[in-house]
Amino acid sequence: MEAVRRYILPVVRLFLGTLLIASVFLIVANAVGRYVFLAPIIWAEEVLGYVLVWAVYLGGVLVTWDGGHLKMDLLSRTLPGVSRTIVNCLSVFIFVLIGLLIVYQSWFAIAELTHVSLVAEVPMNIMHGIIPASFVFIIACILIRLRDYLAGTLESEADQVEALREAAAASERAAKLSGKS
Amino acid sequence: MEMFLVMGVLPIILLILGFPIFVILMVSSVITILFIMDLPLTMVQIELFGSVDNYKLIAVPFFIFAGAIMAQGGISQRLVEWVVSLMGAIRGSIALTTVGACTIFGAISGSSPATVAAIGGMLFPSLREKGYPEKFASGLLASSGAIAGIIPPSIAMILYGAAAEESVRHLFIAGVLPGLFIAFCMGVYIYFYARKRNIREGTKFEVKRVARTTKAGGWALGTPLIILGGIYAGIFSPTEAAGVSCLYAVIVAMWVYRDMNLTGLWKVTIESVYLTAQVLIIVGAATLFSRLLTIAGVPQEMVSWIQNLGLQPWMVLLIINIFLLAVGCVLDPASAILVLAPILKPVILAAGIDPIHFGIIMTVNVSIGMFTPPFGLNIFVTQALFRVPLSSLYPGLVPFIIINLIALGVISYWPDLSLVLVRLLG
Repeated sequence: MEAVRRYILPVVRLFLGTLLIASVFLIVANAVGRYVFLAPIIWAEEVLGYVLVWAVYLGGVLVTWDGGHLKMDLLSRTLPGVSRTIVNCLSVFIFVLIGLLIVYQSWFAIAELTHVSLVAEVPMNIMHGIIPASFVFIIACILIRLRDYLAGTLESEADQVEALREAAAASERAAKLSGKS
Repeated sequence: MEMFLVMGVLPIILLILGFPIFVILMVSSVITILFIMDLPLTMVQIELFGSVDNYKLIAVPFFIFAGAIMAQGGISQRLVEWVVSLMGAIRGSIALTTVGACTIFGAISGSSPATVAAIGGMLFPSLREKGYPEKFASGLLASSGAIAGIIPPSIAMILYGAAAEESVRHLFIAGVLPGLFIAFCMGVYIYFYARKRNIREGTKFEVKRVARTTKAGGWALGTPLIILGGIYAGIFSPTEAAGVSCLYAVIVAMWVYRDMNLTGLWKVTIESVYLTAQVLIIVGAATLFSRLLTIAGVPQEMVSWIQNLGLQPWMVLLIINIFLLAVGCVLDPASAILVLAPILKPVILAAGIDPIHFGIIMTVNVSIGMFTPPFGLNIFVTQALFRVPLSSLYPGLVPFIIINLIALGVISYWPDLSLVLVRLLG
């Protein structure tokens, strides 16, 4: 678990952060190119669409690691111990099953993709490949953190609210400090 | 019957049990594909990829990114100071400042809970200090934050544009007057509330102070001008405006205000990617889910059912509004819009309702859901941030829910409020 936290997740974060910053530059360059140089980057829109797909599904790995998928868990959190564990087990089982199914069907779908994209001429099987690849990582994240998933001790809506409260308290402390100085 | 159980009952059960929404939509869809409709399983891959590979949706991470930079780059503080300098002399000025600051912050951020945290953190203590009761102050903050979801740029509108295949630019234009109208309605209530309670917290209006705060906040106020001005003038598409606003936000936060360093920028970048994945991973599953409902002919059946009932358009709108308010109470705005927009669009088209106007109605409905009990996220943010008990917060929300429902009624039955600017600028 520590190896994933120390080596794999930082690489995923670095890759995704770079993708977002590069996307900002690409879209601004496209607008500037169109108005200033009368030469838009014709492949920009197509590539940005693929970047978004990569960011969303690979980003799903980070979300799964934290147990941060959107859900309405305020009711289920009130369930007594055993019932809650049963619900968590069922949830994990179905999540893994769905992940395996996505990987399985992607294999056949991608095998048929031999063409390249229209403008940027990017191989479409590589672009589509991020979905099964991400779900392999997503399943791995769930299995590595299985104990936390079953115990329901991962981040949830309630934890997000708590995180916001802590952030506000920190900014309040910072404001007080800057006021004193 | 099987279809109803798998696509209707099962998702509700799993939602109550606290399953992730992405998983719920995928489970129902996969069961339908495999056991009910006998469709090729590879359509899962096609929908998961094709629905996210959408130029309109690229604006979502950019608006999240720009909003996060501005929120942590000192903008909210400067905005509040600017609004206070303008409204300080009016009765109820601190409460009015809350609504005003949330409205302007909404034109940058688009995130309702983030607005409650950013603006509320500064104004809640002042509200209490100036004599506003706890229930009023907390109700005001939870509901004012929801305006951010309606004032463009709105992530809810981008998602509606993508799901219903409507112009995001037109939605952004259409959302301005309804958003300001809701802020105005809340402002009127606050003024009379402060008058009735004889709350006098105002300071003298000083031109010098306004000039000073305008100078300090001028760069911050430039963001909505770039985003909305660029889109409305037809210079940028919403996606390009979002990208340009990110670059502008970085420049202002790092080099003009100097409130953010490279480490802070990187932290915000990663948070933005995370939030994007959290919201948009539902897009693929929701699109697959609604596509299956479309293949099964559910929207067409709904249309013919409503036509057989012989309902007037106003009745259709009333039923849809009640349904959306109920959904908004339990489901997050992104999921509600992504699943329901493609299903409801044929119904409203058959009733002769403009789809851009309906996009605004839907956005207002899900935004109201952000502060209606029992599961409105703004309620829990307010509760956690300001340590307000629900016994105090719930009654405090009532007048603001009523005001927003009245405003929703006006927005629903007065289409020109949404569409007049579209006709002028569209």
